[in-house]
Amino acid sequence: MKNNVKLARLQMNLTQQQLAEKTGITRQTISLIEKGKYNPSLKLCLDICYVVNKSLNELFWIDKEDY
Amino acid sequence: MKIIRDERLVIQNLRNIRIAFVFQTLCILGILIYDGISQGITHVTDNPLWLVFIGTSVIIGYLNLRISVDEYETHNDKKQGPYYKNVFISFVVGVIFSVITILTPEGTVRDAVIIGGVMFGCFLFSFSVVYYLRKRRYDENDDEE
Repeated sequence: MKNNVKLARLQMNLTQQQLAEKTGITRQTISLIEKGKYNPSLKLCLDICYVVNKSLNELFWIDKEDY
Repeated sequence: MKIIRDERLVIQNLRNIRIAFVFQTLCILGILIYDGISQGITHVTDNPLWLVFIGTSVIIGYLNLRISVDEYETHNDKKQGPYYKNVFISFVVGVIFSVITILTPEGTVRDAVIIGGVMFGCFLFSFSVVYYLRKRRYDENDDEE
């Protein structure tokens, strides 16, 4: 599913590896989330939100027509 | 070995275990069927793999009860009946099996009591687990309201 994780990560000047380390997952999973090929759990979504200082809405909300 | 914390890899790991489990089960079945064909069907139950196969089936059956209860609860939202109904149905099943055992040519009262008792225990245990799970689900729903 589409999301704004990549944008938020770049705004925070973080590499995929750094974001992965801060959230306790692998870089490959971050890469797949950014490409929209893996849907993370709510817990992981929140972990990512806390690291990049964004809300769930800002990172993961998509309108129904794009769903 | 490092503990996997990445949820995607944990799920992938579980999927891999499922594939390995299917392969293992097919192999066990293959060995048992080969044993049955080459040495006679009674030889199958003497094989320790038979116990592994039955034990695994029982474990997965009990674990899947939780899934069945959730599925049933979603479609039938009525409150379950009293517990004594389970005891009564288990008792009836036990009696039926006892009678069947006595009616067989070599059936003794002792065998009938043992088989009836075991069937009663097995059914009562299964029914009790389902009763407990359904009661817990129902209480959880009550808390939400």
